[in-house]
Amino acid sequence: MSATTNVEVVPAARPKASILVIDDILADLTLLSRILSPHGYQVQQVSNGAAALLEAQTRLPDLILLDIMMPEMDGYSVCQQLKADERTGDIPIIFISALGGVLDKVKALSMGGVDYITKPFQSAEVVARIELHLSLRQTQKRLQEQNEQLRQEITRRQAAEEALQNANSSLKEEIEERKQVQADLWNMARRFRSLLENSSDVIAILDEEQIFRYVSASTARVLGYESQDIIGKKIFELTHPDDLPIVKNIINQNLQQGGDIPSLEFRFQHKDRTWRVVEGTSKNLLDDPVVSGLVINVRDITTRRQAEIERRQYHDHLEKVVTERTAELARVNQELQEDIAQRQHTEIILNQQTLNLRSLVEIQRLLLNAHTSPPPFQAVLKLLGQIAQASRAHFFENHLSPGGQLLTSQRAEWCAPGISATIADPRLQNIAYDRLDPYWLDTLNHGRPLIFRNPAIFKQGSPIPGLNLSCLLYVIACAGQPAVIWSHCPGRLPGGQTARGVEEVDVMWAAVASISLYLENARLFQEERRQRHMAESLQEVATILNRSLDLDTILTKIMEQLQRVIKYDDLGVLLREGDDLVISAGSKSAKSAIGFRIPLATDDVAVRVYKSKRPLVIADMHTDPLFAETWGGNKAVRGWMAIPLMIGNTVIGTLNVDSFSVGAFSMEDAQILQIFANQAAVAIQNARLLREAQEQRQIAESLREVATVLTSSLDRETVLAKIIEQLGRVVDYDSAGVFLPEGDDLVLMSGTGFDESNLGYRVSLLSSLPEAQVFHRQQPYIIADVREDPYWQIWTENDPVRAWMGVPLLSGSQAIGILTIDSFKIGAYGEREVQILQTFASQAAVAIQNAQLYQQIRREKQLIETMLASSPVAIATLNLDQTIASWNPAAEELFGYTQAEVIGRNIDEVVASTELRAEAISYSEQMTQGKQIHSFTRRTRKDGYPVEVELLAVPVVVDNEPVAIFALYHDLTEIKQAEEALRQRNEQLAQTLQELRATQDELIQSEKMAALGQLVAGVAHEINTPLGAIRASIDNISQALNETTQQAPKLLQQLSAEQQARFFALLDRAAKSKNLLSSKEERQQRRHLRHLLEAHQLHEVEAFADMLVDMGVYDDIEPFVPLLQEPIAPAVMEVAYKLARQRKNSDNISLAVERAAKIVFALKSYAHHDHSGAKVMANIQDTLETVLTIYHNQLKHGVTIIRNYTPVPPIFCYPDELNQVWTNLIHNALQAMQSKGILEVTLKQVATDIVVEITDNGPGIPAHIQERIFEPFFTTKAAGEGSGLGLDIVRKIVDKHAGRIEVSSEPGKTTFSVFVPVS
Amino acid sequence: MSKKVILCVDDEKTVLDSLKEQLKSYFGQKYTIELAENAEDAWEIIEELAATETRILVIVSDWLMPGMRGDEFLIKVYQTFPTITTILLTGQADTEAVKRAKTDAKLHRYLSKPWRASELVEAITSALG
Repeated sequence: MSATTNVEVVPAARPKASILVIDDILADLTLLSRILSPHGYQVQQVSNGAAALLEAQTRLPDLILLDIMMPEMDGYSVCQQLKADERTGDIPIIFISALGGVLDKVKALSMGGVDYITKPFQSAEVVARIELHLSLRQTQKRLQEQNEQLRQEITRRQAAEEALQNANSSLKEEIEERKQVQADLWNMARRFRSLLENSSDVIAILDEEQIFRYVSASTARVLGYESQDIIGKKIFELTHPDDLPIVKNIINQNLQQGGDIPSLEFRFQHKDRTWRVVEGTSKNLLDDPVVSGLVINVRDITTRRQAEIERRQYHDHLEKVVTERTAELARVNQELQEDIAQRQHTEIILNQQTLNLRSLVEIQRLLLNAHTSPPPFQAVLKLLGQIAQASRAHFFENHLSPGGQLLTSQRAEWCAPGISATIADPRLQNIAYDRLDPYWLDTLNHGRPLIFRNPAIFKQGSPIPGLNLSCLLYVIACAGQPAVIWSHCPGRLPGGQTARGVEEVDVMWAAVASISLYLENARLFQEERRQRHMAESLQEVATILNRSLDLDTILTKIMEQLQRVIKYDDLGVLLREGDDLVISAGSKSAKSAIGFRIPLATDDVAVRVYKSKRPLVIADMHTDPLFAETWGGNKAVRGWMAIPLMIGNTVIGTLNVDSFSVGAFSMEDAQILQIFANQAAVAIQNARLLREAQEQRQIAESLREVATVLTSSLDRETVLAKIIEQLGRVVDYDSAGVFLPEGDDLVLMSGTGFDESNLGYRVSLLSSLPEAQVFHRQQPYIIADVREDPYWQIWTENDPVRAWMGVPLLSGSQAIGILTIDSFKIGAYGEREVQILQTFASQAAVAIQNAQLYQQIRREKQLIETMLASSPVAIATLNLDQTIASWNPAAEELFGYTQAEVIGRNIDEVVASTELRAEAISYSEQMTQGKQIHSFTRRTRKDGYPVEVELLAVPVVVDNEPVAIFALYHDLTEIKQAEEALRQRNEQLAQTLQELRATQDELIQSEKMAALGQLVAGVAHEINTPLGAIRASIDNISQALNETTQQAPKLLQQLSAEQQARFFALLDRAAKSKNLLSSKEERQQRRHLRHLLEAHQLHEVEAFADMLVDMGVYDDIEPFVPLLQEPIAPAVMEVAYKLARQRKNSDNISLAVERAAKIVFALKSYAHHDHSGAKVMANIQDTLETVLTIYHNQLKHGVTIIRNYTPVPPIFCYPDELNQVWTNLIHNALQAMQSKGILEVTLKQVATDIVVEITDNGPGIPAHIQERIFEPFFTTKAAGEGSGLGLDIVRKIVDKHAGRIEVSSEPGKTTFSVFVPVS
Repeated sequence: MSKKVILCVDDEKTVLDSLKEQLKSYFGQKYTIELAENAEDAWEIIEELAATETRILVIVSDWLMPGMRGDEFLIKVYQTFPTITTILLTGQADTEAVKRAKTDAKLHRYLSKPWRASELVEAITSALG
């Protein structure tokens, strides 16, 4: 059943589904395989999870049966992994398990399983479930495929839709295009139509039947037809019958052969029935689909034809007329020929008679046509010669000399062949009339011809000097005309010359008259022309006067115009400039001499004209008696003339003309020229004045501009450069320079026209070079030619500089430099240049001065700025309204405001806090009034802290007006701090001083104690010694007392009265004796006594002598000798000795006590240190004695003390300190003397001083150390012996007493003197 | 022949006088007491005594004296007369000097002033043996 069902579900064509069975139990596998295989499933079996995964992934079964309980990998894991794999995730998995719990099933299904079959399973159930799931799977797959197809379909359609839309849009575009094309076509058609309609031609289309199919609208105009009148008609219907055959022929030909038919003329019937000649063309366009016929173009040429016909008719008419006229002319010609023949006949007749007349006519013709020069005199003379059959013919012309003398000169000559010419003969020139023959003169004067048949009649042999006349001579003159013609014919001597001669003469006379006439005419013509030229020239000059005031132009024009008036070779205009006449304009050689100066002091010919104010004409410069020698001009010049250039009565120059021809100029010329010159003078003068005015204006203008330019800059270098730059505007120069002083030199600072390396060139001011002279004299210096100047120093050998000028640059009355210019032209500079240059220099000086001042001011400004910037004092400059104008760095530092913060603000608002404002404002008011403020006050910083300042406000006063205020704030904070520090320091110093003083006191004391320490040994000795003596004496006394108390009474009882008397006398002597002997003396006394006693033959001499001396009894012992001779003597002596000794011991004790007390007192005095620091009244002598006492032990042997004490009053002093002084001095003295010598102690009063002098006779202090002995720690003693402070302290103590100490030392005498003032 | 001598050297006369009296009372019977105020005088006496072949047994000398000091003097004495017993009797003496005297002068005793008679006598007696 199920199989059937399956067959139904699954298409038979498809193979049975593959099933993968996974179970670890082989039996189950086998069972399942057995169940499923019969149903046609392809069953794969695997027994573990890993193999199952591999199998599933490679085979992709349609369904999987999966056991759950498997070793290693259980079914869940297998399921999980299969589901996780993309390839196998869709394969339905049916779990087969023995686990039948609901939870197991839920877990299995949640893992992705589709079903769950519990073991043991029913085969039918297995199959049914498998079928179910497979079918579900199939359905699912199919649906997926269908979905995929649908999706693809949709994609495809979308693409198609898009393509359609694209197609649509391109179609639309195409349609638009086509519309456009159509429109274009319409337009084109309309145009063509219009063309057709408006054409002067008729355009028609004929079909094959020669029927009109189209006719252009122009038909109406051309042929009178409307289109419809013609369309449909045959062309032949309207063609002139005569033309029909050819038209037919042509059209047929065209129809058959195609192509074009060139123009064909035929007649076409107009609508008004007239025939019109038309010109037609045809084009076969049968094959053209549009036209499909013959296109005929027809043009009406009727009018043209008509015109041609008329022309032809006129031509015919003309031909006819010409023919008629020709005939008539032929007739006239015939008549004329006849007439000519007749005339020829007459001519021949007359010819002979008129031959001479012809010559005359020819002469006249020549002369009449002779407007050109030179006149054809030679041709005329030739004709004359032929008439006269002469060998020569001469023509002389009369003329006036410049002096008014009548002269004649040969002008032309004709000679027959073989005859030599005389034209160049100077003798035939300027022949004075008074040298002429009277006949000749007569001829001239009467103006009639003469024939001299015999020249011998001439008184002087020949009418013309040097010309040999030997034949017939015709002298022909015209009266009133200064012309002479003469001729001579050698072959025609007197006789036979009759009518012909007269006839010839008449002809010649006529000819000469013609010449005279010609000359007169020519002269008149010349004159007229000259007058005209003169008028023109004068007018021209006048025009120039009006038009131009430029001198050069005027001079050029004058020359130009003059040339028209007078013939000359050279011309020059000389104008007065200063003391010279200067060639100012000229032609040719004069032109090259422009600028040449002729001093008025010379005797030059032009100068003469200038001075005489009259024209001067010189016929020949070579021969002129006055000027031939002095003439310095062109040697070729012969004729010369000069006219003064006058304005009123003033001469401004001369106009000179010259010629290479002798006598070229006449007075007449001069007169003409004078008129001209007058005009020219005015023009020149005006031009000069104008030029001068212009120049002055130009210069003034330039100077003004220069001033502006020069003062436009304040930079010195720029100014210097500009000076040079501007200089060229006012004066010409080749090089220029500005020199400024530097030390003892002038230094070239700026310039032009020379190599730049010359800048810095120095001219010593101590030299006499022109530059130095200009500077020192403060005057301009002009050098016309440097090569002539004695002070000029040539720079380089070929220096082209010739003229030089220097002017001082003056500032007030002081020269600040010089300005120099130079030129390559000699004498280039004059008064005018000086004035200009001085004016310029004054401007330049101002500019330089300004620039220097500016530089100085700028330097000063910079200095002030630097000072302000570097000043440690805060400085503010204030405007008068108390606003801050500047604020230096120290101010920024002091107040904490930057300059930018405070500029323009009110100073009081910036630095005075509210409570200080009132005071600050009051200061400000005082400052504004120009008062100076100096105050110690307080101001406020930006951060609010107050600062102690010393304020100094100084008004800046310019021209008695306060213009600004300098406010200086001196920060006192540091000073106050410094003051405080100083005060503390002072305190410290005072304290230190105190300490030092204490130290010093201690030092002095310790020095004293040190000195004492040195004495201690002696002191102990000094005290112990008397103590020892005292003790011993006491012992002695006590012993002696005991003994004498026992012995004395007994002894006295034994003694006689006499003996007792002697005994007491002895005692008395002993008591009275002064123990004044030294031990040594006592020994001598003892020895002496011994001898004495021995002389008395006494016993116990030794003992007695000893005792007696000790008792002090050694003089005059005779009274005691008897006693000593007694047997009891020893006992007596013993008692006496003991008794005496008791007294001696008592004295000893007394002495010792005194001595000890003295020492103790001295010690006490010495060591005394008065801490009160107050002086006490003391006796200097006592202090000296104290010290001497202390030193007693050291002084008593070997030192002799000399005390020179003068009584002195007690003084207020520090006695213990003075002790120390004496101690030191005495100690030093003893040491110097090595404790042997003389110590002199002097005490005295000198004026108000008490003087103590301690002098020893030691070796003295070496000079070189005397200076140093008072220095602290200076000592000459071995280490340990002295502190080196002794004398230093001595001096300090003496100073303390306002005294002084002096030392003088030489070997054997060294004295220390201490001066202590009494009060 | 002559009595033997005890020589006392001291720059202070009072000391010498009292010393002489003292020594005389103890040793006056057997010895002569000679006095000198300085080393120079003492040396003179010594030489004089030597010339008379008078033996000096003891010299009692002060230390601090003008001229030659006591130790120097005693050393000099010892160098010439080594048998003379030397005793320093002084108010003050430099310890170095005393030491020097002990070694170089075989100083018998050093006695300080003021001295007791007994100690002086003992010193001399002990020297005299």
